[in-house]
Amino acid sequence: MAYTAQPATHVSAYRPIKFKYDTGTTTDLIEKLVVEVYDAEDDSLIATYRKDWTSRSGSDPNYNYVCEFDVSGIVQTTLDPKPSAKSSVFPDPDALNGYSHGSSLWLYVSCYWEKRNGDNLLEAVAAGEVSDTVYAFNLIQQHNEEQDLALYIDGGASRKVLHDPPTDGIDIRVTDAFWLCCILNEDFARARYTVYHNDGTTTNHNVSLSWSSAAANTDKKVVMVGVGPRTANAYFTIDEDDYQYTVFLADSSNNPLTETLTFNILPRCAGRELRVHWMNERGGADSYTFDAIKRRTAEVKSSSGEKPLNWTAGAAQPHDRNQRGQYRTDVRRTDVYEIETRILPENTAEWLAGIMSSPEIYIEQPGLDYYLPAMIADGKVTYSNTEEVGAILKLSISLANYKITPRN
Amino acid sequence: MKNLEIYIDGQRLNFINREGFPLALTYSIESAENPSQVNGAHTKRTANFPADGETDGLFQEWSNTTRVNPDAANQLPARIDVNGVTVLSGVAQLDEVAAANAYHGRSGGEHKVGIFGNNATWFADLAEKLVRDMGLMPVHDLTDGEVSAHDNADPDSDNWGYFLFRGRDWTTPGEVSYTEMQPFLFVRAILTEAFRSIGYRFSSDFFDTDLGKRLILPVPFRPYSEDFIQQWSVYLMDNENGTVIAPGSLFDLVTSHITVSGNDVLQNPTGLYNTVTGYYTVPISGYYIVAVPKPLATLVYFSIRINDTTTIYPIFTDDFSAGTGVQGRVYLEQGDLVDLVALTLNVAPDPIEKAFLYIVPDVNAFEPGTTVDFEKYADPSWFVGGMILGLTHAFGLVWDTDYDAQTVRCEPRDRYRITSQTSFEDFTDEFFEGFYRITDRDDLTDRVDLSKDAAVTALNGGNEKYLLAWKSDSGDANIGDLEGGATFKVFDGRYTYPAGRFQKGETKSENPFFCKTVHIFDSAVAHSTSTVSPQLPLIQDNSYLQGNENTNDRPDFGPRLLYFAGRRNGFDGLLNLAGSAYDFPAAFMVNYNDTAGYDPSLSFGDELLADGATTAVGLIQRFHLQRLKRLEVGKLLSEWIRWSELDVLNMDFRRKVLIGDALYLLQKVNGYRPLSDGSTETELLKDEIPSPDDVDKISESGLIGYIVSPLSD
Repeated sequence: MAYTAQPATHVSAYRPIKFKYDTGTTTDLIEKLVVEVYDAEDDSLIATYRKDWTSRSGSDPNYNYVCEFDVSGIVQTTLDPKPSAKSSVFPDPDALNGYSHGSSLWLYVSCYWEKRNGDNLLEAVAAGEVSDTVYAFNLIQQHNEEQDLALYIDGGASRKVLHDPPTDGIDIRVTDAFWLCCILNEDFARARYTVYHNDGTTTNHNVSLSWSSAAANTDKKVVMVGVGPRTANAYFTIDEDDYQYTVFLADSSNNPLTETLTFNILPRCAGRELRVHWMNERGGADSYTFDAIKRRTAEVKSSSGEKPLNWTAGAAQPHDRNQRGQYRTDVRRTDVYEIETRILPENTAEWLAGIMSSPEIYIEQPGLDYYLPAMIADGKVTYSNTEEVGAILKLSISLANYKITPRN
Repeated sequence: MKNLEIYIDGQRLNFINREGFPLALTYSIESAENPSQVNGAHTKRTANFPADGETDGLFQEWSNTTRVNPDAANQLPARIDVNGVTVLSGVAQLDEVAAANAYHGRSGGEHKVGIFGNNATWFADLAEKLVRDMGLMPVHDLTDGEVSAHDNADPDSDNWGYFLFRGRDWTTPGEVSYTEMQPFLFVRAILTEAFRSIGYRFSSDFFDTDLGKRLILPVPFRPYSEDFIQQWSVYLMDNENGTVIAPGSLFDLVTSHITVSGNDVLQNPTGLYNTVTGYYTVPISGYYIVAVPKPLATLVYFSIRINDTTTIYPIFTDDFSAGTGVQGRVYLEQGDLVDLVALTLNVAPDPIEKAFLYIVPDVNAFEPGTTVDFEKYADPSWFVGGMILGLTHAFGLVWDTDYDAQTVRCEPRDRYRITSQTSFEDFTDEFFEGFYRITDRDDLTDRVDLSKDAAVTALNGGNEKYLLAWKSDSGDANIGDLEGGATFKVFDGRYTYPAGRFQKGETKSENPFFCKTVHIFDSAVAHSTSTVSPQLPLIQDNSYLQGNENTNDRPDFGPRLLYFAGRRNGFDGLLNLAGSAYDFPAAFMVNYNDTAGYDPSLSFGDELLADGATTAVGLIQRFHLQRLKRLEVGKLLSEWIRWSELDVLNMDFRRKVLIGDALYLLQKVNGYRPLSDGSTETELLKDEIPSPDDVDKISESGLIGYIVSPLSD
């Protein structure tokens, strides 16, 4: 009995996590394979399955039974995000860093075959056999990427961050927040910035990071570090005297441990901006400031009722004006933003299109320290029909929570 | 484009709109598990056929009500082919013909024809068949030789045999005799013959196992069926007889023969009473109720005479019919000639004006030497259809009909274990594959249509407790004695689902046909050399424990199902057969004498045997546990599967279905449209297999199924 195929060490929870388990040649009448899935961090049992063998070879009475099974379902239900859970990669806008508890799961399975015994009942053939430990991450949903996530885990300057920004950098304003997301597997001591000033000079800045004890250096959680100007300005200055900055996470000797992100400082465009943060397809957080058109509308739906009125007998004005017959109830107001970008380079538009397929977005209240959960109601990338070549993204975003007035 | 063809009675029919034929077929296993449900497998479908001459011709111009066409609406063999592959075969039957407007009157319009198949085709036929009409047992005489020749019937070569149960007190206390034995039929023989009689071949691995082939239906002697008794009864009355009786002498009774011509009342259906000679020929040995006129004031008495020699007198004591006659119960031998006589003492000759003779058989004892005619005494309410439902309930059988091959197969649902023994520790312990095969499966993983949503239904509707029970025979007082007022009765078994999911309460599933049989350890008739106290079935109307005498009555009993072990060289003990040791043919539901636990048990729950240590595993564990486990897990998947004509042709509910890494039982293909390439909703029940923990969910009543006789009778 042996595992003849196992998943890669690092896998996405959103693609099959398949094992193949084999009996070897046996004369037993094999019926089922019991699969126990364990959380490798504390060896606790998460779920038990009773699978059926999927193929067999050989001839009577010597057969070799194989079961090929997938455990991605239980991993998905164990990991964030869940709609009702406070999820993951969007901490308080003013926080320096954080980590996502439910972003990864270390697991292994223990398998044993069951056969029919002399009483025609199921009986274990042998004790459970433990598989390799697999690290499943709440990210990477595309089918066109490799299943093995080593590029995101293994160390050095080439470790990918969970962003895939346009090649010419991310446009950002001096008051905006942005979360750099990556998988923690080494001693990330600081975020190292290089700021390019308009006068042609350059300065470097370090912002020290410390992690809570729950997020040990090797626990392979998704971490997020605030690297937008809004966070950085608490430590050093990034303002409109600068035109660009870059940032990566480094060890205590400033050796880079991640890819570098590049930001382009743009001037504010007062009053018409709406900044949107979204969970991207890799499970990281991206954000973009929509600065071309912003319209805010509200729709209200309500129910109505009607109640009988008093009539004061014999009074000169028998009707009581404080009473109303028809009244509103269950008033629900939906706030909707209609926003558009300016004409964008196509690779920026492609990056931004990720917003339309995101399960989770927030809008940032400029200058305030909280996000409002929101929902994409509609969106489309169109192409400009002007002389300027490029794409325009149009979005309709509604707030995820109604404003409710339950009774009058 | 798919090409559809419909054949009825070998003729290809035209139909409306060849491509858009609204045909959706449903295939279901449901009716296979309960063959009385006709609406299951191959649900009846109505197809419309056009008003053309061919269709009208096939159905013999049905719309013209004046045409004499008695067989036009008969069931006809039918099949539906798609691209040359048969997707349904069964029978077709005309439902309705529209009578369309033809300017001079009406002519045949659209024909509506029902097409159905599978178990529906035979169950209705079998439901009408009587067990007694299967012709399995020859007419023979109840003699020692005849019985001993059949006291160790071989299920592989015999249809019937004799065995011993205690149905009344033994004729000679302390011993048994051959002619006290009773006949039985092998269940397998009944099924084989019944299916043969309607043109099907019956095959079953289960009924070829030791348990299946040795199942017997005791057919104990009982009062002759009312329909035959009616045939043998004679009621004759003359209002002006005219027989002149001879004068009696002073000291001797003088006997005068009276011929009753029946000029007032004449009920003599089979002519047993010869109205010319005045003699009644006794058709069968046994007791008869006889009524004759009351004595006349003139010292003339009436009676009957047997074979012109023996005059029965004076047993006619009971008043009959408001004082006009007297009646009594007389034993008559088969072939006796009986006549009405007048007995006169010292009186003058006097013509009899009114004379009558009523003879009504009251045959409820089969005396040695009598002719045994199974067709005449067997219970006229035992139908083969009922027996099939009873067997289906007891062993969880599934019935599968191959209409084309005219074959019916039945097997228990799941893999089962059969143990049996021919003598102590000379046993067999074998496993057999059930209806649902273990390793043979269809991998439909790639045939799933993911574009439609599947659903996994939780089957929560059942009750928390499931009770399987045999029927109780109200004519058998001994069962009641053992059960008292208990609700969880002898041989009952109960499966208890884990709490929290199912409804509180109990579903009682009682066998629709067979009654339970208790046993007696009858050491009073054991031979002195017997090392075992012989165990016999106890099928007796009077309570044995309450000491009621039971000598002659042969009452009516419900049908029983027993395992016939046969004569096992004293393994079951020895009886005193008129002084010699006799290893009687044993039959039982549970052999309490078994100390190895290898004899099959027909109790639903487990039974603790008489040694106080050995357990006989019951029917729930052997035949029902896997189904109950599946229902306990209770996951019904409605999946969309793309079936092809070939799949449907080869559709075999016996093969389990593998989707991904899970195995299911195919339950139903719901509305397969042969002319569409789309997917069909398919119901699949998640397969499960019980583990030792599940055995703990089975409980038994704990009431014993036997009575111990005192040492002397």
